[in-house]
Amino acid sequence: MTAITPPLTWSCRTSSSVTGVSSSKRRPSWVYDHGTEPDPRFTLANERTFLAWIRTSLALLAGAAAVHAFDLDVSDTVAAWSGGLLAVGGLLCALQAWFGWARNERALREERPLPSSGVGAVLAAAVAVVALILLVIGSR
Amino acid sequence: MSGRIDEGGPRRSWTRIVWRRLPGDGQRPISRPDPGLQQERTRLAWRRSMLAFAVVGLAVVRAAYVESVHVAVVLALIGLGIAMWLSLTTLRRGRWTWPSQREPEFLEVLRDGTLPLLVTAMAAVLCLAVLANALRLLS
Repeated sequence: MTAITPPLTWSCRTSSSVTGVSSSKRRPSWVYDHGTEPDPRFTLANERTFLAWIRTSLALLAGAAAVHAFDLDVSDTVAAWSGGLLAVGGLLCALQAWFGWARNERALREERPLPSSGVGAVLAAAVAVVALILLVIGSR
Repeated sequence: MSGRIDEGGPRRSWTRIVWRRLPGDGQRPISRPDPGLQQERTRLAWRRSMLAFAVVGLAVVRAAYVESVHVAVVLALIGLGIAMWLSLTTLRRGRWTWPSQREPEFLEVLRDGTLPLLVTAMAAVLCLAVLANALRLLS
């Protein structure tokens, strides 16, 4: 964090005396009950990462819908399996979006290193499997 | 009148919550503009994500309509309701988290996990609908 310390005018870490917060409780509490408010830029960046995962989820979902819509030259079973697998991938992405966001936010608040997850690898494998199925079976 | 905080009070309504005057409105920025334009990038990221949602959501509802009108109507109603709620909430968030590129001020509505959770739930519902269709085809 020290490498990207903002200039003095941007010392953004706010104490409760200047926040003027009269607000409701922030959820989820397992994130916001820990640590202190991070630089807002990091919070915003975390939110964009969340949105990127959500869009990935939607892209997989669009793929799943396309398998059915485009009337590929494969059997119904194959189409259902590929569509189902892509939909599961989309679900996985959506879950990673949320839990990744929450874990990152908590790590930022506690000034810990950001956590990692294996979802990316699982996702790559799933997409590769679907592509192989469609390539091999679809080209016969 | 700029810089006066509207206390809200008992006259709270949606229009007042969204559009009321904020401290710092109409004043010149006192600090450097954000070099990365984080606020704007985030707002645009939300916008294109919601556009993607609209497109994929419509496609799924359209596909569901062929199979079952009831499922399609339920999906569309869930989507519409959440979309309306989202548009109101994002207006508030966009405005209140970092007003007019001054020092960040955290006002009444703080960014938290509610909106991400809602969006995740919406994506999960769409995924489950497509998954259910695939399973139905298999059986």
